[in-house]
Amino acid sequence: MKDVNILVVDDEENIRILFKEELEDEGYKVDLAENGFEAIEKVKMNKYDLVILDIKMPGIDGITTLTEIKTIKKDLPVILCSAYTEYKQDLTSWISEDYVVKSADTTELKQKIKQILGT
Amino acid sequence: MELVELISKIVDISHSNIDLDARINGILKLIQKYVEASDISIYILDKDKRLTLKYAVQNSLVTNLLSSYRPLLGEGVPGLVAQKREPHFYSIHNIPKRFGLLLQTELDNVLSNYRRFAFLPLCDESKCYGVLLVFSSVGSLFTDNEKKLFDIAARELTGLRKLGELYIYSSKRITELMTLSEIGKVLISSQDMDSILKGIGLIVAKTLGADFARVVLKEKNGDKHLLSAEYGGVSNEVKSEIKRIEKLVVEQGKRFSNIPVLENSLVYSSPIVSKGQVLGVISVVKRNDGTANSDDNGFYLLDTISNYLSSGLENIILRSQLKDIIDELNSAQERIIQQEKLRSLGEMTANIAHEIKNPLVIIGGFAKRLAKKLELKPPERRYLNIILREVGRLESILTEILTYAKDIPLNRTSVDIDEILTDLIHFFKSDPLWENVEFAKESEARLPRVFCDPQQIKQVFINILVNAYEAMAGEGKIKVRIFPKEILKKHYVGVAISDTGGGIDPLIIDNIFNPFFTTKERGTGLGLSISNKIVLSHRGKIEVENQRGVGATFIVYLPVCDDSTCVHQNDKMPRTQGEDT
Repeated sequence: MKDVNILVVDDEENIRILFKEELEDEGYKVDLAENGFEAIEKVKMNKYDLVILDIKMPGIDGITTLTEIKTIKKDLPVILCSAYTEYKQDLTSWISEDYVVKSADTTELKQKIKQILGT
Repeated sequence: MELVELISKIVDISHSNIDLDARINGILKLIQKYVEASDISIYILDKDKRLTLKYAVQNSLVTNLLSSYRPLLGEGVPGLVAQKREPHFYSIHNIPKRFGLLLQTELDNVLSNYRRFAFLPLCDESKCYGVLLVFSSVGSLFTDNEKKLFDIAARELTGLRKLGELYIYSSKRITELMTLSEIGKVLISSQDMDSILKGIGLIVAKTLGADFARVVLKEKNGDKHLLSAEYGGVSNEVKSEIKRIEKLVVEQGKRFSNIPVLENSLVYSSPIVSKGQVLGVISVVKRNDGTANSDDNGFYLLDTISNYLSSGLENIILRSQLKDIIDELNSAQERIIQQEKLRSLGEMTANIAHEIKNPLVIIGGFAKRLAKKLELKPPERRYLNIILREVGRLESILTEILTYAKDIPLNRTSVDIDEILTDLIHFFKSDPLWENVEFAKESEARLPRVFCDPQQIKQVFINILVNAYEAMAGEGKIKVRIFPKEILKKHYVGVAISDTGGGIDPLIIDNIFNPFFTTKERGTGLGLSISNKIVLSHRGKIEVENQRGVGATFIVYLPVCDDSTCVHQNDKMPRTQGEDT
């Protein structure tokens, strides 16, 4: 399988590690950013196939980060991932590709990634 | 009997305690004896300035004839005596023909039976009360002693009549004051408008001895009746006649008195006027007992009552309008407080839930990785599975809490509530777990549509139905009743869902809508709380009726879709996609 690069953005270190290991098990290459600024920098510098973005973060929040990323790379797919179930309802008003409620069970996240990347 | 003795007897009688009429008759009898009079009687001067023969010692031809005609003041000898307030004495030779009452032709035949005639005014300085008639068939002229006697008797009789009128006047005033005081009590009571009108009808009918009384309040600036209360019963024909008269009273703003209607009844109808505006009408129906033309038939009271009512009723109308407004304000305030309470609680819980969620995802996520990576033996595998299962349970609780905390925007449309319930019942009936639940649904024909978010409202009914199922442990009867209801002049559709689950413990009934309150082993305590929140956001309400030992009934009231609310709300909703960016 061709290398697929995914950037995971979350302020919680253990979440980052969990997602990284789970996604690496699936064969993806995973890069990490611990806040919005770092994520924007990394998107500018590197080539990713997909970004997984937390919403509630210190500094700049996920929604602002999302807008920035989309300004830099319009076609880079972004999956929002948050503990809030409610944002799901407002998904249509945002420019992200999808929304996943953060869960210990990463099955849904993995499915969404596969769907978006067509892998 | 000596004159002096007689006079003292007359004075004694006059000042005794016996009934007034008995005193008058007693005096007349004494005079009759003394002057050997054949006929002795009294004409009473009525308010209409006519004389009516009222007292007669015996029924003779002449008294019968005199009773049949009421001479005017100044008419004939009796009228003249009353007018001039001077006694007239006549003998058979100079008595005017037919006493000057020329139409009374039959008097010609009877006057020749008498020899002497005395007509004595019963008057004081200010007023004339009547005329005393003394006719004697013996002698030729009245003696001085007889005239003296007449003078004194006339004075005593005048006094007695005066007392009588005073008595009648006082008793009228007392009745009037008593009636007004009773009406006053009703007016200041805290009863509702309907009971107040009923109370007034009852008092009026009782006081006037009427068969029927009716009080009608008219809508301001309109013909429509706002409220009406009736006391007693009359036939439909008489009632429609009253209604016709009431219409005239309202139109003309004046009273209609003594209108004869069917069944030998009289209608009296008086407007209730305040500040030049007709507020309503008060009518009574009384049996026509022949007293209609005299002025003491009680109807006069109705004017006093309607005058008195006008100001009182206006206050009550204002008061009842004020009460409606205050009730509405209170209920709005209650709703706001409840919503505010739920909102702040929701915000707090959402924050806590979010903070818990991350560590939970980490615990669960790595536990899952452990399960994947390690080759575990049965007991350890079981321990890990327990951790994973409990993490899953915690996660679903948090999801529910976070859903609860969020104000989900309403996507309202015009909805047929009956259809929603029919679908839900059908859905549950097809579930094998529900096979021991019997459903009964009844709904009133022509239910108005409701303005609501069908998805959220469906959630409310699902919550209530599932609670009912659990209360009955999956076995029993669920009754669903759908009906229109008016609360504080607003229209609602009510859905009452009753179960046979034994009811709710009265100790906890106040808590059932509080978030996180539950009686179930595995409940979050959010079901009813979310339902309540949804219904409140629809400007509706949920009520509980509890029958301990039988079951509970949850009643959901949702506001009816009237044209203005539907159009108005739809203008604002829903948000379109581009607006947020």
